[in-house]
This record gives sequence, structure tokens and C-alpha cells, in this order.
Amino acid sequence: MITSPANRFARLLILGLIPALLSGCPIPIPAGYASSSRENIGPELSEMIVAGETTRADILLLIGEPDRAADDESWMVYKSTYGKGGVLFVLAAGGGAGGVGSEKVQHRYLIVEFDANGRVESANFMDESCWEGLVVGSSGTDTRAPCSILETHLPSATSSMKHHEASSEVTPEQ
Amino acid sequence: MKPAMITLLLTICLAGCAATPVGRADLLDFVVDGRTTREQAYLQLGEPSGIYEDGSILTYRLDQDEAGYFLIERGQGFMGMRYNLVMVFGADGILERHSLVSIKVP
Repeated sequence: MITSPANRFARLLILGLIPALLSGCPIPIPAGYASSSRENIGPELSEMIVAGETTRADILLLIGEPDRAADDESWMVYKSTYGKGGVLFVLAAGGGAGGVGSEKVQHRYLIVEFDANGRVESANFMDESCWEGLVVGSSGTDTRAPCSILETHLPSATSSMKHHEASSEVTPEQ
Repeated sequence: MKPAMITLLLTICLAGCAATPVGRADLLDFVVDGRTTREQAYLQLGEPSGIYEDGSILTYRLDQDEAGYFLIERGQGFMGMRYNLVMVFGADGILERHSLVSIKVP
């Protein structure tokens, strides 16, 4: 059988890449909250927030300062990010090292809207799970490609939450 | 003195510096409902990380080491921050309620 130079090159390239990929050391990414995430917005909060009674001050005293808020404080958003685990492939060469990987993360949002008197009008939990790509540089810094779709739909600080379609009542994920 | 010995001594000294706690056990002793004023909060803790309801609610970011609490600069998310001090003042500028909220699960 006659093999063309192009086919031979392609085979050599593939044969060379496979060992390179397999030589990456797979490191499991343990489950846990992201280092920059809060960890205090669990489903138990839904029983502690009463529409028409709980005030803005009550919310702040209960949960702390929000991750995002409207300029007029008509709404506040609390967010947590929990990694459910993944894998990172580390490659080392020439005195440096880096890695690529993927991790499944759960983004939880608590969106609280207030009326003109500063009392809770609504408090909705939203959960979103997705896979995030991860690239770790030789200096140890990591770059993530956020996968949250909800994040991109949250309004800006000057916008009203009332005109936003993402607001919907969702049972907190257990 | 041999270079190896110098390196070892420097390492020991620097390791000691890195481990020095910076917290204060009495940082929040001044926070008393019905007594603390908004001015005292600014004097003791500086600029708050959050201001709500026209200044009647102030929030501060804190962490804790073996020596006590210390203030955290507003940075990326809640990295390095375990507590959020929330202070609610009345119209007279006197503290009505406060809460040291745990942001991180212990």
C-alpha cells in the first residue's frame, strides 16, 4: 500500500499529540465554594424573609451587603458559586507549567425586590448549574470562562428589576 | 558565615514575619446598641464598604485571625472576608441594631 507524504505527516502528528495529552497530569478539582464567593444563601432564608414585613435593614442584618444592588436600592442580588468538582490537566515543560480543565459549578442567586417603603416585595432564588472551562497559567493565575447565563441577564444598577424578564419564582435547589 | 547558614537564618526570620497576627480582639468592643454613634463607627473603622438608606446603614468587611478581627479592603468578591458587620443607625445617629454576619460557613 502506498501512503502519501500528507497522510504520513498527519499520522505522525496525531501519534505525537496523543502522548502529549496523556502526559498531562490529571488533578481532580475538589468540590467547594469559590474563594471569592459568599456561602450564606441557603434555602432556609426563604422562611426568614416575609413579603410586606421584612425590611431592607432586616435583609442586610441577616445576609450582609449584597453582591449587586440598584442605585436606588429597589433591588439587591446575592450570589454564591459552588464548584461541584472537575479535573485539571497539568502540563510541565521547560521549567514552567500550566493546565487546562473543566469544573461543574452551581450559581445560586437570591434576588430581593423592595417597595417604596423599603419592605420586601419579593425574594426569589434562582439556581443554575453549568460547566466552566479553566486555564491555569505558569504563574498560578487561573482564567475562567463563566458559564452562567443568568449573570448576563441581570439588570444594571440603574435599571428596574420590574422590567426584567429573568425574575421568576424558583424553588431553591436542595 | 556560610551562605547556606545565612539563607537558613533569613528564611526563619521571614517566616516569623509572615505568621504575625494582625487582628485586634477589641476592635468591635465599641459597638453597643443604643450608645455607639455613626461618627464613632467612622473614627474606629474608617470608611465603610457599603452605605445604604442615605447613610443610616453602614457595612464593614472583616476577617479574623488568632489575635482578633481586622478590616478587609473591598476587593474581588468576598475573597479573604469571613464577616460583614452591619450597623443600623437611627435618625439621631445612634446605633439601633447591629449584626456580625458570617459570610463563610465555618
